[in-house]
Amino acid sequence: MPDNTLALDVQDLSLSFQSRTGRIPVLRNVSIDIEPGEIVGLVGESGSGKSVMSLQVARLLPEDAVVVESGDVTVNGISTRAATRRQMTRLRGSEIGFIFQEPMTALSPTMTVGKQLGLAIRRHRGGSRAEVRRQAIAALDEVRIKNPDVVVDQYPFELSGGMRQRVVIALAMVGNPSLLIADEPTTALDVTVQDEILKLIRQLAQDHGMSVLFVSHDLAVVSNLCQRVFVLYAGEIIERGATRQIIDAPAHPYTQALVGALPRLDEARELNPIPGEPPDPRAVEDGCVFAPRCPHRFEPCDLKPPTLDLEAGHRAACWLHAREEAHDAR
Amino acid sequence: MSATTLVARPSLGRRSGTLLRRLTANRVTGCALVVVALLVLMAVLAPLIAPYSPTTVDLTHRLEGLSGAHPLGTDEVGRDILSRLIYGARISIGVSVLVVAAAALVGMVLGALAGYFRGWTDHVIMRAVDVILSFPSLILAIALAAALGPSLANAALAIAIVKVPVYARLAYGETLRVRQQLYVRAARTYGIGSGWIIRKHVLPNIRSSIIVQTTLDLGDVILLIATLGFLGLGAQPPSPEWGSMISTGWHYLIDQWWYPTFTGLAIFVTVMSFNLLGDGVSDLLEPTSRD
Amino acid sequence: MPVDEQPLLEVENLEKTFVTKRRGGEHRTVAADRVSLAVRAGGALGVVGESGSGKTTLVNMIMGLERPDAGEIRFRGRSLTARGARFPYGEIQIVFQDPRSSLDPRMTVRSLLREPLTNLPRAQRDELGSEDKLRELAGRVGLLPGQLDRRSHEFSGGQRQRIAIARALVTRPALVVLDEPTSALDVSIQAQILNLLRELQRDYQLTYVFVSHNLAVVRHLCSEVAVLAAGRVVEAGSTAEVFAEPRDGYTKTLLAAAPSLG
Repeated sequence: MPDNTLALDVQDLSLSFQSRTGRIPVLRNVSIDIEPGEIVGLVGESGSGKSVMSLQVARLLPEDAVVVESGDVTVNGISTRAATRRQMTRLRGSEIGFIFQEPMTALSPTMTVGKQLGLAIRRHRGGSRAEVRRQAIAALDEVRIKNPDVVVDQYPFELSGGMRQRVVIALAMVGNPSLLIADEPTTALDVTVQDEILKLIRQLAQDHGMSVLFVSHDLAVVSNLCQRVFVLYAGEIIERGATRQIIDAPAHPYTQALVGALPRLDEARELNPIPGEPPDPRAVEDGCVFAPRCPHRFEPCDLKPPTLDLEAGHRAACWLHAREEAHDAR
Repeated sequence: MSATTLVARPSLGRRSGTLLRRLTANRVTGCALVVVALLVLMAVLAPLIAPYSPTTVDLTHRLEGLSGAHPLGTDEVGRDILSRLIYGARISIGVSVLVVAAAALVGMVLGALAGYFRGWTDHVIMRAVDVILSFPSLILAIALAAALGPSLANAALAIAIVKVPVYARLAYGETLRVRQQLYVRAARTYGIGSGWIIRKHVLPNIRSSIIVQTTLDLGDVILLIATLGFLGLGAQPPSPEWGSMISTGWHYLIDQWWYPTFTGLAIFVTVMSFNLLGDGVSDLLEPTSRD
Repeated sequence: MPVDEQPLLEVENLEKTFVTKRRGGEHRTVAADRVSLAVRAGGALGVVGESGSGKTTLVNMIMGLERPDAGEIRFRGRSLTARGARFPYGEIQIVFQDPRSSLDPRMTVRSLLREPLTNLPRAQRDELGSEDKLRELAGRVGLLPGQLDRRSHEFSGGQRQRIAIARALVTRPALVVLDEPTSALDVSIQAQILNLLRELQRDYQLTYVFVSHNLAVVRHLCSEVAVLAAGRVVEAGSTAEVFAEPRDGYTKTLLAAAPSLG
C-alpha cells in the first residue's frame, strides 16, 4: 500500500433512498478525503444526511433501500462499492471502527462488558480465555476506565453514560482500525463527560496513528477537536477547509449563519438565526440548495454553483466567490 | 434525511382512502376483504335474499338432498338449509361484533385505569386479569356458559368475559407508555384532573392498538360462538346458529352429508376470511418504532 | 422588604431525598440539599446543572408536581409549599425539553393551546381562549393562523417548540419555567427560538427560570445564574461575573469543558 493512500476517500458520492413513491436523493456529489492520522469533522444539522454518510462508509444501511447513483467510498484504498459482503464484514472492525450516539443501544444489555469485548477480541486476535480477559482489561484501561478489572465483569446498566461510551470506544478499537467513525458520540452526554471523551478520542488517534471522521451538528465541539471540517447542507458539501479557516473566515453564507447562530460563552451577543428550515429532500429545486434561505441570493444562484478554491484547501460552493480570481475545482 | 428518523404512529381516520388501496394491494387480504364484505351484506340483507324462512317446518320435505327448490338441501324437520345458513350469519357475525366491541370497551377502560392510577387499582384489576388469562380461553368460556345456563346471551357474556383481559392488558401497557409522556405531565401542571387526562389524552392515544386487536379477535370469537353452540351452550333451537346446526347435523353425516358439511364450510370460510382480513389490517396499522 | 422589591419567586432551603429499596437495604438519593434561589420580576435566572444535579426535581417542585421534604417556595410572597396552599395555576407555566413528547400528537394546535385554560374560571377561559386571542398568540410565535387546525405530529421539532411556548403563554403567566427548551433542536433553530424567547419576555413582561446544561445558551439569555451539583447550589450570581471569574471548583470545570468556538 503506497504511503499516500487516503484513510477515507469519498469520491463524488450520490445516494438515494428507495421509497414507495420513488427515489429520494439524500446525498449529492459528496466528496470527503481524510489523510492517515487526521481528525476530520463533518458538520450538519438534522436532515443534512450526515448520519447516512457515516453509515454508508461502513455500508451499514439496509442494502435494499439504498441506491448508490454514482461515486464510491474507498477506505485505505479498498473500494466499498466493489467489496463483497464478506469483504465488508472483514473491513468493519479491522479497518473501520464505529461509535454511535446512544451507547446503550450499542451494548448488549444481557452480556457483561468483558464478554462483549471478548467476542470482538477473539474474532480479531484469538487466544485463550485468560489471555482474552487480560486483553479486555487492557482495552478498558486504554480508554481510561478506572478499575478495569472490576468493570470487565459488570453489565452495561451498571455503568454511567460516559463509562458506557468508553466501553463502546474500546470495542471499536479492538481491531485496531485505521479509520474511526464517530457519529455524534457525545451528544447524549453531560458537558464534563463530553470533554473527557473528546480528549480520549484525540489521544487514541495520536497513539494509534488512526484517522477519525467526527460527525456532529455541534460546530463548537468540532472546532475544538478536528483539524479540517466539511460542512454538509441538504445532502451537499457546501464548504470545506481547515478548522481555523471555517471558523474565522467562513465563505459560504450557510457556514457564516451557522457560526453566527452559536451563542458564545464570553459574551451575550445578538444571534442571527437563519430564517426558515432546511428543504425537504423530496422537493429540492435546481440551483443552489441554500438559495431559498440565503440573505445574499442573487441571479446566478438559479444555477448550481461549482466548488471554488479560495485558498489552500479552503473551498466553498457559492457564486459569491466566483467574482474573485478563483479557479474551478474538479 | 437522518437514517434514524422514526415514523409516527399512523392515524386511522385520515388516510382511509389509501387504507383501502393498501389493503387490496396484498392479494390474500384483498380476497378476504371481498368475502367479508359479502358475508356482512348477506347477513344484513337476510330477509331479502333467503328463499325461505329459517324456522318454517315442513315435515313432507325432510332431509332432502340438493335440488332446485333447496340448493343446499333440508334438515331433519324440513327447514331449508340455505336460508338457515344465511340467517345464521346474522347471529355469528352480529353477535361476535357486539361481543368484541363490548370486551374492547370494558377492557380498555379497566386497563387504562389500572395503568394510570397504579397502586391498589393496578393490583386489583391486573391480578383479576391474570387469573382469567391463566385459563385456556375455550375451557373457561365453556365453564362460564354452562354455569350461566344455555342461551345465546349467556354464551356471548361468557366469551366477552374471557376476552376482556386481553384488552385490559393491552390498554395497561399502552397506558404505562402514555403516562410517561411529557404532555401528561404538562396537563397536570395546568391543574387538570385525572379524569380529563384519561379521557382526552390516554384513551385516544391507546385506541389504535385496541382497534388492531379487535380486527384480530373477530374471527376467533365467531369460532367460539359456534363452538359453544355446538356444545349446546349457545343459541338454542330453533335458532339457525351454525354451531348448533352442526350439533344436530353431524349425526346425519353419512347419508345426508350436505347437512353438516355446508354448515361447517360456512363456519370455516367466515372465520378464515375474518382472520385473514384481521391479519392484513393489523400488518398495515402495526405501529412502527416509537421514540 | 417593600413589596415591589420582593422577588417574584423565592426558593428557600429546599430539601428532597428519594429513597428506593434495593437488595441489601435502602438507597438514598439527595435531589435537593438546602437549595435556595430567587428571581425578581422581569428577570431571567439560569439554573445550570448536569444529569444528577437535581434540576429536574427542582423544576417539579416549583411546578407543584412534587412536594419538598423541607423548605419553602414562595411566589409573590405567598407560600406554595405550606399545607393547604393552592398552586397558582395559570400564573406559572412550563416549557419542556422534548417537543415531540410534550405535545399530544393527536390534538390540534387549537386544542393544545386551549388546554392550560381548562382549570381557570370561565370568564378568563372565554376571554383568553377566544379565536382572536389564539390567532394573535400563534402569530406571535411564528405560526400561521391556518395551522391552528393541524395536529401537532405534522410539525417539525422547531415548530412544535413554538407551539409549546405559545401554549405556555396562553394564560398570560408571570413566570415561565423553561426546562432545556432548545437542547433537542438544531443550532439554527435554537437561535430562532432563543431570539423569540427574548422578544416574548419583553413583550409579555415575563420572568424566566431557564434550566440548561448549555452554558453558552444560559449566558445568552440569563442575567443571573445558579450552578447546581448533586442537589446543592455551588455558586450563584450575575452570569457575566460567575462565568468570567468562577469561584467554585465545579463551576470552573464546567466552564473549562464547555465547547466554544475558537
